[in-house]
Amino acid sequence: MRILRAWLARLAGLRERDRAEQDLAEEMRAHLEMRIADNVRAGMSPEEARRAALMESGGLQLAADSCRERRALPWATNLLQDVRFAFRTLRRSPGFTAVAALTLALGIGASTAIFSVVNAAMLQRLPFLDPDRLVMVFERSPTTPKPNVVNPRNFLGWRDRNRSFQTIAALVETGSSLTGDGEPEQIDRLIVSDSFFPLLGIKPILGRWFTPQEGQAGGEQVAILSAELWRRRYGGDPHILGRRIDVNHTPRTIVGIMPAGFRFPQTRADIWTPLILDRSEVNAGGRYLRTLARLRAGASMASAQADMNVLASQLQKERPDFDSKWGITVVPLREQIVGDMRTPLAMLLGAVGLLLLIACANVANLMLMRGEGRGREIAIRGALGAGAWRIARQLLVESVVVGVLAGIVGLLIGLWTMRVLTAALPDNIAYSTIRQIRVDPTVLLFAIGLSAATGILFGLAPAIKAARSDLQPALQASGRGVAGGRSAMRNALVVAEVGLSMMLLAGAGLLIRSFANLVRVAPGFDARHVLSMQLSEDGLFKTDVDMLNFNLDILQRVRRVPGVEAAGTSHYLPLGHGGIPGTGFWRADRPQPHHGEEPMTEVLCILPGYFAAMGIPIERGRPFGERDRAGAPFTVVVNAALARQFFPGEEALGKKLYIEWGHPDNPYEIVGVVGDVRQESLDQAATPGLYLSTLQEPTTPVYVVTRTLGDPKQLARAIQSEIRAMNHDIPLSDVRTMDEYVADSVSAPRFHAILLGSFSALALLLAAIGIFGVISYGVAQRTKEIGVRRALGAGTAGVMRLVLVQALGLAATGVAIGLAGTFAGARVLRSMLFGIAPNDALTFAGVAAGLLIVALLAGYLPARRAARIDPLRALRFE
Amino acid sequence: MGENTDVWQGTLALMVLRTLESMGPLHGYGVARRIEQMSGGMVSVKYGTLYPALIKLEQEGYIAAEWGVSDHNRRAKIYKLTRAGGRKLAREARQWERTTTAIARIFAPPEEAL
Repeated sequence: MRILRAWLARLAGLRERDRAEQDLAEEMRAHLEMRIADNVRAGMSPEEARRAALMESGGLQLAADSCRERRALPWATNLLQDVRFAFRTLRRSPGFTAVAALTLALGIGASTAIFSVVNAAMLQRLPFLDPDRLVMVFERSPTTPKPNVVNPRNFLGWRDRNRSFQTIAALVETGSSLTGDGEPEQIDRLIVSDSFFPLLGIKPILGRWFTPQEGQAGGEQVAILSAELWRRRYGGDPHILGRRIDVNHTPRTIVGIMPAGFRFPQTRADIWTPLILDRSEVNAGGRYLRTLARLRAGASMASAQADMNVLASQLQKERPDFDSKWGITVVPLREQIVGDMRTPLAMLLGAVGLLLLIACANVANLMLMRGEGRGREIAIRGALGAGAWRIARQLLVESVVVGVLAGIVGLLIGLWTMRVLTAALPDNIAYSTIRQIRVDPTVLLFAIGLSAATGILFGLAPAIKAARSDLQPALQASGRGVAGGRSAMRNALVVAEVGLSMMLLAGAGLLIRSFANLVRVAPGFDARHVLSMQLSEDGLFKTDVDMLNFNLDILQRVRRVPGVEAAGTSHYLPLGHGGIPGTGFWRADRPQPHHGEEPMTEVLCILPGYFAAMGIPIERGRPFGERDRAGAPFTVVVNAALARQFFPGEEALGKKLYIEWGHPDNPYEIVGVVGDVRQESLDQAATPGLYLSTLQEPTTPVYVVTRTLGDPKQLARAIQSEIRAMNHDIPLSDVRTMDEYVADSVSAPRFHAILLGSFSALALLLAAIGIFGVISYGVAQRTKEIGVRRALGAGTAGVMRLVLVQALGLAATGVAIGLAGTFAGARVLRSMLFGIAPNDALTFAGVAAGLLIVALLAGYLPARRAARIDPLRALRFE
Repeated sequence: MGENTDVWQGTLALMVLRTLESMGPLHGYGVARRIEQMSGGMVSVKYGTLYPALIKLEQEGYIAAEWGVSDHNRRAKIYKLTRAGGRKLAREARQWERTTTAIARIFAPPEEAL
């Protein structure tokens, strides 16, 4: 206790130094005077008395020193001194300080911004009860290893017979209309089984979750609203429970309000309704459910997977026609969420890490050069009795101070970058849902730790050098500081910088070229002058005939709008979000394949006018017309890929197909072959696809597409009012041009290319500064030598070559090392590249050449200075 | 006073406490003076040892200090024993006695041959 008390007093002593110092001086003065007075009283003369008193005191200053040491914590005082001294020193060279701090701040800022994204995306706990026990369960198709959505009847089998899960819930996402009480609105709906909310361990902010009865056919039609929708549309009405709203034109009772900001797993919904699950025929076919489960106590991922494997083989035997060869996959929820983000985020984090290292190398070099300029100062301090460790510590403190300064500026840069990043973050990027990026304690700690660590990192080299350095030569060398020749460390730093820049630049080069490849891809349709909008007609019509007539009328009206060239509908939009539906099919003139082994094809249901509106070329045959309607012979239009693959060397036109999607008992005659369209993304080659006539396969169209003469946006209002005139209760949403969809589909690669491009541009700049600095310094050090060379007859060109060769040598070494690193590191980019290999020689060669040119440019200025050295003055320089 | 020995800190602290106990509140010079007198001039207390010791004792709470006026009407820092200091002194004095007794025994001429 006493010890602690004394320490606290000493800590306090750190603060009250000045007052204590005065007190002590006064106390000792009093002491001295009293002694003198006593001496005089004892008979000495005043002078004698004073002399005796002083001699006896044993040195007042020394006494004060030992008191000071005792009063406070000497090392802390020293540290404070060091820090104060560091500030003084740094203030004396504001240019150096500014350059060093700013360089580091750029690195720290970029790192902090990217780390905050990673932190928000990958390190945060999921906001659910015990999230590590949550898994998603998928079916596994016999043809692809990708997890597949789940058939409802299989889900019921899992629910009733698994031995691994405490609870299991199913959900399906859909769009819906919200009408009746105000503007019709298109909303996102999540249909969930009643076990879903309790499984996540969340509570409604108002009302209750669904009851099991509400999950039965014939149960009460209820709904839960998101807090956002509740506030926006209903003004946060506290008495909203029990109110009825129209979802897809069906009235539902509101029973609860979700907590604000809820997403699952990443998608936001406006409304939740109960999923009706029973063993009726409706649920026998189709796979569309997503399944969430909580592991029961004692179950592990491995045991759950083994359990589900057994269950899968039972289900295969029970329904061989449907489940044959289908397996089950259990995936941790966290993995499901972060899986797609991992590569791009690791890439970005790696990139900023490299950038920060380059910044550190640069500043370390600056410090080294400065340290050498200060050789004499340091030597003198050493000669005056400062220990090697004390000097090294002083230098280290100086660099940590620079690091902390840089950290403060870097945090500001990071905050700004974060804001820019979140604003620029494309919607369809894997981690776009992480918009609540903010500076939380983790990020702050990261930034602080980073600045201290960088301070130590770049301060270490100069400090070690100072601690080891010999005093003698420094004191003898007249005013030149520690002489050159010991430039190995500086050169190594520059080589490292160039090497790291090489890696960054190569990565950026790959991404940029990949992006260029991507935008050069023709999507298969003509995106210019096409406007699309989404309609929600679900539940609006009693009969298919009503629905079809209504939509044909809409198209008629839209086509009459001046400036409209063509209009059609489809239930899927190329490069829109989400997967394109697929169907099994087979040639009618060939034997039917075994069930589950039919070839798959993309399928789109369209109304006449679609091909013209989208600008998809008709290669042979004809597009659909109004004659391709119910009652008429079944017709189909196929794409060129399907014709090529399934009718090689034959004419597909006039041949017939069986198609599971539609009327699987009737053959469909191929009446047209159209160009291939990249439906899902530009980087996936078109696969076989077919188009069905909505008039024969009545599905509610989702998209109206219109080709216009001029700017399609100009006609948006006119087209919308034509549709509204038919029925003002239809929600219209996503009014966008196809150009926007195309741009959106490449926004993630563009974002990454731009980001990595900017990082590597920064890196290049830093590397150029590094080379420039080292070469300039070398020239300054070699002034005399160069002067001698000039005096002995070396020409301008010769001297310049001397300097440039040095710059090139450093850069070439760096490039060589960087190339090795690039070959090793670029592989992580593989999944992000399109149309280019991760070890693309052309890109690497280009980047290497670019770096060497930059090195030449950076060396040019010092080389010219060297060439202008006047031999006479250089020789007098000493 | 030429052959004075400087004292080591632990002992000095004990002497300071003892002095303050017997003399009452006293300034630093008084403490030094008193110790010198009591030791018959054998011990000289230098500033460099006395004041750090006073600071340490004050930090540990065994003595308290405040500015006051000395007998010669001079402003001086007056130290006094705290209650904790009194307890500490009693404890240390016992310890001191035991140690000195032990040492004295060791150095005493043997009472009987071994």
